[in-house]
Amino acid sequence: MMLRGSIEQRGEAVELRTIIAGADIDSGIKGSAVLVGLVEAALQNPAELASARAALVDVLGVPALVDAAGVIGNFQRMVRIADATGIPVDTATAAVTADIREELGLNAFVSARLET
Amino acid sequence: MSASRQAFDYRQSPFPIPREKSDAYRAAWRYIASPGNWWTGSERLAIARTARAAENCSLCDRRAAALSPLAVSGAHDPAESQDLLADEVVDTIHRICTDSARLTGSRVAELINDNFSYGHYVEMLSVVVTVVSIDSFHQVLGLPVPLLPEPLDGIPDNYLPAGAAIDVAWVPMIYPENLTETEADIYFGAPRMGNVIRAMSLIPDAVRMLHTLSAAQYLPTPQVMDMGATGSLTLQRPQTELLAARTSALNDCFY
Repeated sequence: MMLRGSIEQRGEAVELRTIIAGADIDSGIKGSAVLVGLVEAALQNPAELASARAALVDVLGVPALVDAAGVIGNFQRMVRIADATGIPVDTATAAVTADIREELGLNAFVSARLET
Repeated sequence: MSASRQAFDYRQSPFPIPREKSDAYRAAWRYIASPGNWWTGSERLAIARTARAAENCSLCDRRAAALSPLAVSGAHDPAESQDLLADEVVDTIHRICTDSARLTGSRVAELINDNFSYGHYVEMLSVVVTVVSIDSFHQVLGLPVPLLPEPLDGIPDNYLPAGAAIDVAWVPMIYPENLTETEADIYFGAPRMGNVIRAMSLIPDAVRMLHTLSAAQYLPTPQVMDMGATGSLTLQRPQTELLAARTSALNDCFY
């Protein structure tokens, strides 16, 4: 999992439950609540987008907001590629993320597939 | 071409948009407008318009709330020039846009026939996700979605990579060792490549467009496995990955 890998590379710790639980749980990453809040507004509650943008700018600045919009757009693309082509998780990734997938319940996602 | 320039002119934007993003988006619009391996420019624009129509489709809303998408029948909200596409293609575009986690391999296999190949499917998917991705960027920032380009003339060349085969996915893909000269660049010479990149390899230009957008919105593909890399972004890498992970989770995507 890229999130855990990027945190470990910095010698820090992350609360991974934020991925599933959302902004109510602080991941420990700087700006966690406003970053997750932006994703949730974009995908679940567009009426909240203006306030989510303002909150993110207050904490992390305008360039971070523009970057965040790009990252969300990027993964709106990648998840649809994964879903529409039926790819499984790569073998190497599946091996090193087995514990996280179990803990977070990712294997219960309707699209979950492991390479065999 | 003029539509592409107008579409990504951010001089009136309340936020400064980096040049690498506007350049990548212009390239994406040229890509959509151009004939591909299996679809003409006009057909690709019909795919793009249909993807955009899915955003507010009432049938898709009802299906999303249903236990099974197949339990709800009806017609999707129409898009301009949608008649260039078969009904089942239109339905699949809507499902990719609004309910992709519940797509199935059997649904994809049912689409394939003498007139609709896996090449058609993967190229269609490439156009759809390119539009979704760029529209999403604009919507998050509260900017109007860009005007779609005019189609360019030309005939699809029906190119099929010789090394593509069904392996672990629903569509044929290419392992790095099976690339031929025509698409030798698409994995940057890497001996292994992630499935999400290989997924588009039946259409080599789709992989190239994936790399272009990834470099502008996330990271250049060769840097993705470098956990300290941030590409051109001001975000720290863990911040980027938190956004990625939450976006995937809310899409009910395992990947």
